[in-house]
Amino acid sequence: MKSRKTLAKRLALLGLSAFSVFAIAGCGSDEVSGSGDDTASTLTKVVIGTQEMPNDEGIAKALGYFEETIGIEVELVSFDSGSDVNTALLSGSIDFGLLGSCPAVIAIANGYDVECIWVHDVLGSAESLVARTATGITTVADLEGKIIATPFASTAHFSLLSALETAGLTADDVTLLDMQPSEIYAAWETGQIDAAYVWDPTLSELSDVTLLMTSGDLADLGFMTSNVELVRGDFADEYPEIVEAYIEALAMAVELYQTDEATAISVIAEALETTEESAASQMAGSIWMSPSEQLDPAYFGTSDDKGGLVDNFIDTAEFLLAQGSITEVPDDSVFEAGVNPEFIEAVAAGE
Amino acid sequence: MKKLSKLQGISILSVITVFVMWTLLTEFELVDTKFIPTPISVWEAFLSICSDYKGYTLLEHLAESMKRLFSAFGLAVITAVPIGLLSGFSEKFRAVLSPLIEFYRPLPPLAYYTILVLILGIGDSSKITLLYLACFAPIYVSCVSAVIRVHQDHINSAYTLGASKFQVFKDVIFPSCLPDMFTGLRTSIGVGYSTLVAAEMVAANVGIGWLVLDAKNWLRNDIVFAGIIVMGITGILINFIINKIERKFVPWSGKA
Repeated sequence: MKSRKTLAKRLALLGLSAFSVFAIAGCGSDEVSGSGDDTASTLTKVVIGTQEMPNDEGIAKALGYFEETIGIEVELVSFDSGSDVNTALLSGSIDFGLLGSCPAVIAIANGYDVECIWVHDVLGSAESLVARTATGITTVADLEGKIIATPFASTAHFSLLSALETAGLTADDVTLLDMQPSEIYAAWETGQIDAAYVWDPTLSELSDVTLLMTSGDLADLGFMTSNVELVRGDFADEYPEIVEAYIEALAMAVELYQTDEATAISVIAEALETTEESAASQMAGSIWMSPSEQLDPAYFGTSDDKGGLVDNFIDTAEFLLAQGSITEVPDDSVFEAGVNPEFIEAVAAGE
Repeated sequence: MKKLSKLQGISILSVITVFVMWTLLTEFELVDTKFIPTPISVWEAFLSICSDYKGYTLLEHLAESMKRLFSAFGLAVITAVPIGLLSGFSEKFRAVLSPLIEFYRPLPPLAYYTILVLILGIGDSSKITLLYLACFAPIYVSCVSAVIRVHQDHINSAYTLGASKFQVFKDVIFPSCLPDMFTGLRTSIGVGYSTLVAAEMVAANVGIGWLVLDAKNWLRNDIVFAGIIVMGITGILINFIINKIERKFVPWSGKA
């Protein structure tokens, strides 16, 4: 009798453990599918992960373009860095995500089902390597033995390593610290770091700055970086019209900047709570492109003949591999599939 | 003894069940292995970080974290025990300190970490201070309540027998407080350990907490899993060691 009781107990316990594992697994798969799992008729909300930056998405957000073109409820969630956007995107918590080309490459190279559908801006001086003037550092080579902060796994991190390489230095010749932009600002102002590779608006807020190298300089040396938009592959398959509507909103923002610069600048100035002068210089620090410009062979190219962005992603992945940051670079076809000009083409055709 | 081993058997069975479920779910790809990696890939990730993760071996990462944790814990023990006992002893002293400690104790460490970083910088001092503050409160609180709970009869009897104030403290109050104090120490190291990841979020480039966060940024879920398992086992080990120490110093714990 007694042994039967223990056996029952044991079985119950086993069942409980099994149940909990399934429950955990269930949660996991639930998150993966996210809002995109609903059928077309029941999709009621689109969630866009964004970052506070002086770019087209900032304008589209401030002027309500997304609500206008997408037509259903749009929620914009702000993140501090691309790696956080990645986590949210891959777990299905957001449908679209704005992030640097480097985190985008990390997601694609690791085999996640995401597609790059838009280049927000090609980075110029909006993301730069700067030193505190008080340290006396004037060139990249002077950084040897110094403390440099950057958000790890970001595009700025990639650019920093590239910049060090151009000066014959490696990560081992300096002290690299992993800090988010807001933390970089605090550490900079209190003199705890010597240099930083960071982006606007934080970059413009730093005082006592000596500019060492911009991402534009690095692009000239073959290390082009950009901020791009990723969409979940399953979402894009199911709702192509929403992806197109999303791109239409950004095309409107780019058009506003190209045709009515003053208005675009004042919108960004208000969104970033800065002066129009500062907003104007931040916006001038990167290149914005209309849909037809995005389809240039240097960037997206066409669906049949994809452009330079694919090679740029492959180069980035190979650099990350050489740095030991990723374990393997997948076949070129993975990157081909990860860059999708289809939606831009549809929008450009309708213009 | 027989009962104990039976319970242990159940525990082992429970762990094995979870492990088998994990293996089955991932091997048959019932879950996406990019999110929940297979045990084999986690094992391989473990072996690779053992030899190197971003310039340091796993042991070096662990050692750095343990150095931070135990410097903070050590400082907390040295300060919180006397201050706590004194607060238990003297109502006035307690009235001075209690509101301050009750105020910061429930605060999430990340909330005031920013302030610590601004004041103390991004180096180890702000990290250790954060862990110290996390460790301090549980020890303090347990010491205060331990002193208050000492039977007044015991103290009075000792006085009646001619004991001095110091002797009463040394031979009556302090030993009576030891079991509660150890509970406080255990809670303290637990709270400190769980704050470790937060402490290594800002401006670290070594440490087991940072390793997990960094691997997350690079989408290396296999390393995240391996790191978390290492942290879990380390936590169990720390608890085990404290239990051993407690049994050595307070063999009467749990007996009235």
